[in-house]
Amino acid sequence: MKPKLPELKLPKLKLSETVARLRKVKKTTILIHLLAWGVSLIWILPFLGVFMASIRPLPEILDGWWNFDVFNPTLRGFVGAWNHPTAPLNRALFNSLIVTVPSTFIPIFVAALGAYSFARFKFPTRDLLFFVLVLLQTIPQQMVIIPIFKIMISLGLWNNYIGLILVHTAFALPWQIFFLRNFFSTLPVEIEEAARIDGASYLKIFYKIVLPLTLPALASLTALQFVWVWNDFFFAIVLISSPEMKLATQAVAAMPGRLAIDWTVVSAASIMVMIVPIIIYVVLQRYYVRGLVAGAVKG
Amino acid sequence: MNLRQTKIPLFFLAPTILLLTLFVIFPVVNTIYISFLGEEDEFVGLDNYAEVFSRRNFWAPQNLVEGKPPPYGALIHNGIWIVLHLPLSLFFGLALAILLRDVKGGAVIKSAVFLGMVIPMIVGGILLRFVYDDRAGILNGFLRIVGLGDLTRTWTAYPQTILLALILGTVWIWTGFSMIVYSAGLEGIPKELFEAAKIDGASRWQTFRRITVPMLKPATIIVITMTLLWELKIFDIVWVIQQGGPGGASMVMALMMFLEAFLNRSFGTASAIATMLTVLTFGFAAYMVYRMVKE
Amino acid sequence: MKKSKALSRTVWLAIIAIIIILVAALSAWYLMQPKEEEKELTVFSLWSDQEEANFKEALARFTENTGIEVKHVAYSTNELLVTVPTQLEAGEAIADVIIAPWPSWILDLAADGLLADVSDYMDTTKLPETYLDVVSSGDAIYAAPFKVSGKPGFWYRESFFADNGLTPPTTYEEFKTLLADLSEIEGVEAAVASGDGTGWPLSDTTEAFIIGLGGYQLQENLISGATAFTSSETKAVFEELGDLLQAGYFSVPDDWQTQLQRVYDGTYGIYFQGGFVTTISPFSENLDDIGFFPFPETDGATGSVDYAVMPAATKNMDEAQQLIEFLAGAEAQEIMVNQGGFLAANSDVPESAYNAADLKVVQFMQTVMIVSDLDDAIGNPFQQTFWDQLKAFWVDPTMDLDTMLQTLQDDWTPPSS
Repeated sequence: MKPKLPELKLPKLKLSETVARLRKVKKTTILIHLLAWGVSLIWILPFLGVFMASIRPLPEILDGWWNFDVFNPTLRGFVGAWNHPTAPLNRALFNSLIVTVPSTFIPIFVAALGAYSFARFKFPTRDLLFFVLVLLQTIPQQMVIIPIFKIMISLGLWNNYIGLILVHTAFALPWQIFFLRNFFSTLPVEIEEAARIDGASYLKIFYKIVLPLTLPALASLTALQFVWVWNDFFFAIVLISSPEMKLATQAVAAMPGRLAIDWTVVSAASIMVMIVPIIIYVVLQRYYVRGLVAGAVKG
Repeated sequence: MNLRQTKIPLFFLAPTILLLTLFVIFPVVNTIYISFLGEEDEFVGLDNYAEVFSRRNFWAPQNLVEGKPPPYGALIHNGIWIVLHLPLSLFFGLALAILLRDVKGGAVIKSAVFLGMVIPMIVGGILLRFVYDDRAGILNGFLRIVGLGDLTRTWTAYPQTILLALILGTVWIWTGFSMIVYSAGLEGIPKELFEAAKIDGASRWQTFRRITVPMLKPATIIVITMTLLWELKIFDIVWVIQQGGPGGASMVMALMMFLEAFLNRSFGTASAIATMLTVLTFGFAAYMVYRMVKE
Repeated sequence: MKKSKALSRTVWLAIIAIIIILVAALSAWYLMQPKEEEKELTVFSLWSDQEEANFKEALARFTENTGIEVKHVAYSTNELLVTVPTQLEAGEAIADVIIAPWPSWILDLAADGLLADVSDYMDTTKLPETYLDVVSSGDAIYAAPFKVSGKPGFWYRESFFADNGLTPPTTYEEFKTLLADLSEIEGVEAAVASGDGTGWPLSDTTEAFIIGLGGYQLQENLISGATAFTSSETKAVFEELGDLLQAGYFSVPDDWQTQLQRVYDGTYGIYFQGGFVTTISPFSENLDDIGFFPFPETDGATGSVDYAVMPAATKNMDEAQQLIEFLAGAEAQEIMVNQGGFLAANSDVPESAYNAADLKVVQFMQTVMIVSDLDDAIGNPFQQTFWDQLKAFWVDPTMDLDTMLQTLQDDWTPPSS
């Protein structure tokens, strides 16, 4: 049963004043909202375009996908991209997954252990090592690729997913350790100390107490790393060469390289390749953003 | 629990140290070393660097100085990218962060703007190529609608326009990043500060200048540093659209390094380019690194 | 919004579950795919669509003869240029045979021992010496000439010329008059169609001018370095070309294949292209209505040769050698000729195998000095630069010639031999 609402006592205002106030408030808010939605429409336009292009025949696209007088949607683009003669996405998407999933989860374990050491222990060279770690975050892929290429060849891991996964793992460690170490510093030490007094080993403490509390941070690492590895192109083109082993980014890059660009197929391929990181981002948005802006707020 | 231990933490750190040494630290040192070697692996000092600088593909300021259109060389192209892209995406990001603070559905809009950051840059390049296409692109469609149909062309096909087109296109892609960072930064500013300012009678602009901007300093450092690094490393977009052309007008350092290494198989010069790229990267990131280490 | 630090266990587990299911499903799908027959040999080439289909005909005959299965993978120019050196440098030959038209690229790889000497697998008496020389080093020959492409001249639709009272020019002055006449015709947007691609159609056209106005010797000298790009004779050629570009006789570069249609339609009058256009629609369906005229008074023509090379590290040495031998021989090349748009390197292929239009090309190519394609012979980084500079020149013919020619000269490197 709904309780009776108390009678509201409104302050007595002159009518003209009220109208003037309403008018003023409404105008700026409306303007801001219009501007905001206008901006978002403009920003979304290229995506809208590529989506339209993926489902419409080429002649329609060449006349402008924003024209709808002739509209004959087709799935040719998606089928064509899926079964592309030289860069079939049916293979490539799967290949990307084979590389991305391990490259996402392996570094997390390695980084977590490492970060925990930095956060909880004092040992010689600790600060030096950490400093090196911070520096390593800025190294561009180009700086390491030639020696990595040679190393992989000697290890027999060139043109082998294991090699690529190792590289992605190594590259993830600096920023992941940095991020996790900062996160660990915010966890209260008392619980761990209590467990230690009870005689638990460090490993046990790590897995049973610390890790579960770290899940949100791990979610951030997962989201960021998955998107980064899936989207990578540079390591892939150097380290993966067999046609049937190509990753999704390599496949889609090979498509417009030919004669005239078949927009229907290329757009469909683009959508199939970008939808995966977009989904990850949408599902883990909160954690993705948190990971990205860590450090933006001094605290 | 600041225990003085050595065995345990080093045991925890073993895989990290192993992977980083093998795949990051050693390669960095090795690349620098290779940059000093010539064709037959003999020591040639700075010859590779000099040779790279003598190439018009890398360093050709003549055109720029004379006010002519690109190409100006990869180094200068990256420089122009920085000069144009950084302020634009920073400004737009900040503006959007402020604008969308109290908008209904602001979260959705922010996600839409941020999408460009989540897609592979190869696809980003394809999207840009699509937008700039003579017939299928919305830019030209728009020009035709407003009666400027004479200007239409495939903007990425011409040396005069490709660099600018790509730079502006990457602003569209990257603004989402600065927007998100600034949004987080704005949220972190305690409301009390704003209220205090209001009570003191500060104008909007004064509040912005005296409170918002300084409080956003950590965010700004991140935005500037990450953006600079990203601009130096542009590769995928340029590769997929014109592979550095036409006329070398969209050549960038990362691409040039790649072609040197894997087309011309000239590891010495490629390493020289990579090293120069990294020196620039370090230089730009130095301040941020310093702050990160301070804590 | 929940401000709790711990992500809801359920959501976390759900995400892991989704990923595991995804991976499991895809693995299952993948394993259920019918296993592709293990092809014994892998061949890379630049040929796609029709050209690829034609090539596979020859490969099918090879399989018939030897029982060796061959897989073919098509690549774009830029991809092949980078992919193969990377693979060979890595010491792994993913392809057993590669078909490529770049002699200097071939020699560059051979110089580092990455390609095998194939002189034992072909009958060198049946193959043109000039083609073998550019891929030889000492006694070793590193590539087998397979397909010869000629760039015979400017193609046109014969009925279009007849209807407009035009005849193929025999002198350069007549040529310029023709260009002017073509521009006057209603419906013609430009006298000469310009092709686009990575840049090669423009370089073909430019080389026609170099050879036509400067003689085949000029082209050879530019390749070898005996003459500089900045020399007055070279500049004269580019000035002449620049004048014609500025007069608006050339169309804006567009997809080279679309331009064929436009020439056939009468949107453009003539089109400098290689002989292979006889295999492409609409030319291929109207072989009796198309013809070409060479650059007036020219003494040479660029021909490029598609060579078959074999990586030194190939795992199927014996089979690959057999394929090279097959491709260099008359049997394979006759199959290709019969499909049109293919000139054979091997002289044992009978003239009767060619169709009307191709025969004209073959016969013409026999009357002139065949010169290497300029940028293919010099190689990279010159090739990239040349293509790029021409693309820029076409859209802006007023650009400073001295700068452009100096740029070309800067990137010239002696062709490896």
